Amino acid sequence: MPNFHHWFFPHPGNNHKPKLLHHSSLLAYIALFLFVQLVFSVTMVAKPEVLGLATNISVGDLLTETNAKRVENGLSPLRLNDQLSQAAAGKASDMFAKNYWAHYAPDGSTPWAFIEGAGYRYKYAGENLARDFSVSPQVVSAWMDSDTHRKNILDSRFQDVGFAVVNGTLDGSETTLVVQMFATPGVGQIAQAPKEEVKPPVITQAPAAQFTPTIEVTIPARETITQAPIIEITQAQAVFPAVSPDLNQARLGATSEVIKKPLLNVASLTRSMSIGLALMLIALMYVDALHMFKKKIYRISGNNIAHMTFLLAIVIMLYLVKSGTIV
Amino acid sequence: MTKEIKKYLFHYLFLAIILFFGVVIFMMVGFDKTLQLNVAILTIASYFLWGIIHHFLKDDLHIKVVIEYLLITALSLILVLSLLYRL
Repeated sequence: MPNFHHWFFPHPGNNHKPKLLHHSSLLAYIALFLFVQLVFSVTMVAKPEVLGLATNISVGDLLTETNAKRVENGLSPLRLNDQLSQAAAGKASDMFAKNYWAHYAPDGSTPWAFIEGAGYRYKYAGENLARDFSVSPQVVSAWMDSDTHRKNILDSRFQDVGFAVVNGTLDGSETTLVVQMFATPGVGQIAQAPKEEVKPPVITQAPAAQFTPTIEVTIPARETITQAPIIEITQAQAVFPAVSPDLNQARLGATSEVIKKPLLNVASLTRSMSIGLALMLIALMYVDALHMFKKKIYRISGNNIAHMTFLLAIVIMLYLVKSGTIV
Repeated sequence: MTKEIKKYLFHYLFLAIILFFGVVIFMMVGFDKTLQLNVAILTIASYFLWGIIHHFLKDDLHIKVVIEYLLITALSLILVLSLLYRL
């Protein structure tokens, strides 16, 4: 093809600028990229088994990762608690039902209401939330990177933990929510008896009178209250025996894991396409800049050195974008 | 190319500072997508403004140059937005 090099190299025939860097080409990249993203969105809905977000998050892995972090920091591992897992499942259901993503519901409901609703009487309690992560270690790693969430994971006062991993629709898009609830039992907390059957967590609202006469709630003035709040209840602790992890795992039911393995991962595809396009432009601009300076050609055009530096910064940003959000 | 950089060293230093801080802050707000989006928009908008001012001071600002910066920044914004939306 005689004009093939005109696409890639500056030449009098292409006004001393590779055709792939012309305004029309830049506009075509924008249009093509938007079109591909639209195709991705449609395919994700029509054929989720072909194109989607790959996810592999399980309560077992979350518990292992969380306890590994605690043991690394000289703390005792947390016990997986069925009631806290029910509370976490209730919180996740509430977020999907009321379409919110926060510790406190729009109607003012607190995370502690779910813990109490599951029948767990706590002395201390805390909550970490995450959404849209791909794998369990990423979730725990994100929490550990945040001071407030890290404080919850490494809080020596907590003895029990519960998790829910639930898939649903939030703000119109498919979302995988992870709810982690910590607590230490207070007065009146009855130790869990191991159950043999597998059952999904169900929230049962305990009578209000069961709690109100005996507890005094104080909210300590600490920074965790803004992000991952902790409420302290001034009561004596009850003895609370551990339940075997295997048995707990068996009782988690429907909210214990979300595994999605589409043929193509849309996030990886989008990242590869974006970085590939930016790197291609950098390469073309480098060749163009070399040619311009070598041949001392003057033309009305943008600054290639600046464009390349800018696109390099964009490539780094694209590389830095991680999956998931925590609150 | 080196001659060009030396001639407008102050311009390039200023650009390097904008992009450096843009990337570092983008990294620091890693798990907050809204903040990341805001940082990306601010960095991209700053680059557009830098380009206009740079060419104005060089005395070669032309509508074609403005369009080129507009297209490069629009494309970059779409690339970052798409990935933030997907993840």
